Amino acid sequence: MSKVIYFSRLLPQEDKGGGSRRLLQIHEFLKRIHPQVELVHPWRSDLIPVEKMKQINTRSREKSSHLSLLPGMFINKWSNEHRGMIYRFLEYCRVWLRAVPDLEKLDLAVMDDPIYFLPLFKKLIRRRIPVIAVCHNIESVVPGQVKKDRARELLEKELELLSQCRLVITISREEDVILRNFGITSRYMPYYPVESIKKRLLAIREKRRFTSKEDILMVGTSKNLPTREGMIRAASYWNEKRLDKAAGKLIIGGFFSEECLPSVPGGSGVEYRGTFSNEGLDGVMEKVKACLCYQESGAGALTRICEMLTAGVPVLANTHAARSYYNMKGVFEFRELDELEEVLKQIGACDGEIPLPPVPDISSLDAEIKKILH
Amino acid sequence: MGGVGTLFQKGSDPPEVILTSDFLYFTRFPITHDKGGGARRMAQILELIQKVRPGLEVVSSSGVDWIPKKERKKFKKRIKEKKFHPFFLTPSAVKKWVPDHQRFVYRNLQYAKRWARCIEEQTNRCDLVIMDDPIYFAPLFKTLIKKNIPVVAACQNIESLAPGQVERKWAKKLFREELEILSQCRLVITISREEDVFLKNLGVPTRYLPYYPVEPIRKRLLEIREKREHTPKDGILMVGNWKNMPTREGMNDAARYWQQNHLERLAGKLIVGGFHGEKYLECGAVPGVLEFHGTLSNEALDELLCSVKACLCYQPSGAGALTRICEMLIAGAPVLAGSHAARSYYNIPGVIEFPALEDLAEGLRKLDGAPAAHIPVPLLPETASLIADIQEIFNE
Repeated sequence: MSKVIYFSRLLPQEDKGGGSRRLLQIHEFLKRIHPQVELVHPWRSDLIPVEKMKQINTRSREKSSHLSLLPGMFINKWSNEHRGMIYRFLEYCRVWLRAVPDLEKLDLAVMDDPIYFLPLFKKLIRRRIPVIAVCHNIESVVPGQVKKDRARELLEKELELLSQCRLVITISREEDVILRNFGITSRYMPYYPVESIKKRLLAIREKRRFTSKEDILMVGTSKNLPTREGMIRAASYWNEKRLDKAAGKLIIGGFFSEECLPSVPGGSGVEYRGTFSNEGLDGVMEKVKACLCYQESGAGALTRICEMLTAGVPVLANTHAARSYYNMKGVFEFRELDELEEVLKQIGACDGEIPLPPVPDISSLDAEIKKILH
Repeated sequence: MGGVGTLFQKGSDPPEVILTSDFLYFTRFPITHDKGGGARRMAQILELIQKVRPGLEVVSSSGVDWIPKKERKKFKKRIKEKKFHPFFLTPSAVKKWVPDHQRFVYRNLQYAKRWARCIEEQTNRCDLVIMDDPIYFAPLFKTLIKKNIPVVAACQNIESLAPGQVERKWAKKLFREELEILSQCRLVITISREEDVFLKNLGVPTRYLPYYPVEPIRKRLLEIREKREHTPKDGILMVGNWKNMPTREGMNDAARYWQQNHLERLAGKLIVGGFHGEKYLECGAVPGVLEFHGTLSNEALDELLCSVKACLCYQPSGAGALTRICEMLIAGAPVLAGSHAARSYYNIPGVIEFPALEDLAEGLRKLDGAPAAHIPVPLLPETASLIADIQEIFNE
């Protein structure tokens, strides 16, 4: 029986952000091909002794606060906010290098964005163990993660790493196109929620048939810089133009919104809800007219667009946020905020149900992975 | 092309180069909309720009524009003679491209150097320069930036990303250089949605302007659309520029696959054509299965477009976006496109996407099932925000 490990940087939980949900989708898919795939991620302190974990976490806090203490060119290239995470993962990898039993006898390693797992990645490549990268984003182009003047340098490095992978699975159509042009074997696998999430979304879709609709929802992880900036800009625009008169309140919430959106312009037209519970979010989704996604930059693709469509909620998205979902039924694209008012009128006029997004066709990806395994 | 500056017109030999406009467009394409995708795209941008402000002067490296008469002979000789033996010292900028592309790069760099000198000599100020993919005109670009003249790049492809142009080992390095150049532009106009998203994330100010043909082409295409309403349909048409590596590879793969799997039983023969096809088609023609036409005149292409069931576009890789997909849709012909070829046209009515060649048969079946008879004319791209951007640069 071949041995497969999936090294992840995310928590496999469905009530966490987009990254976690994507991880669940990939993990479920891998399990269908190879039921014994083992998931290793640091948050459960897999294979990392508790003491060591504590030590790494304390040091990582120091790393983000004391600039002068920072060793290593690599860490220095990332933004202050992201540096702690970079440090932690480098350290976890060093532990895993020793702690993973029979690392050298692996038949396949799957890995979220390899740039975070450098020491581990290098060792696997040296030992000629095939690596599949799960590309959540091309990380070096995510705004707010990288020091501006280092972005292109890191990008070159990241592309180098990805080109050493046997296969790269992307969530973004756009990144897939770019990677292919570098001769990287890449497969686009659109996001699609796992069964348990899908069930919840379909229940919302069912209920929406009978509810009266008001307000617009804007939900996202505000720790993410492009998401946070987008929320702030949309909220102030909403207030300034008094869009609540025509379309109702703008309800804003999501992970980390208490910490990251503390003193954003309020006003009667915008309501901040903080982090939603599952039930809370479902309740809101049953009754809103639409969901608004606004980002002026950002890599990867937005998992929530697919989820909203599955729940039958129309999505208003500006051009950048709508990436990987262009021209899909139920997605109303607008270029700039000043076109938002116009688009809000369109959802009023749109009748009938939004079709369910198609289940991604994974047959060729499936064949590709089987080929690597055998 | 109306409104183009005097220097562009062939035959008028200025004693030396004098700026007749404060508004220039440097290009590597000929100014005609009858040639391949690149020239058509440029025609679109010119049409748009003329609306913002007339009097644009176009300077092209496909002519001898802006090369003073007395230097022309020498200049032509120099760009012709250059041979790239591995032992000769060639400029490192040239060496990073594949041998097939090196002469082209060298030529453009030579032009750019000469043009840079012309710009240096000018006393009157230039308000704005538009430039196709500045990486080919790097010396000129540097001069313009040094002189604080705003540059708008018309990004036909991220060139270092176009497979078959760049030496593999240099690709990432060159890519970084190109991004560096693009980030110094005031604005980058992209033809590709994918490249637009990517550049935006690197902080490059971009505007995505989807391809749409200029008036004369549009007229021809709409006539075809009209005729298609009454013609019987047979066969599938595959055209493209065979000199372009990804296009060539894709067309050869598709033709071979068509023959081996007898897809003519599903949709009739595959009609293959396009510039330089004679030289590159690998599998031979088979009556009733694969028909080969070589370079097609406008009239011949129009006639074929009237009578084929659909068009086929297949590329395993490639940058930018395919102008012909938009044109086929305007002509009312459905387009079967492989996932990579369909970039920037995903989920558009009339485009039937198939992930891999093995799925082509399935795509052909969809062609019969769907009401392919009526494909909506693609919408004219919105240009107001781009025009406003350019206006703003002028007003500074």
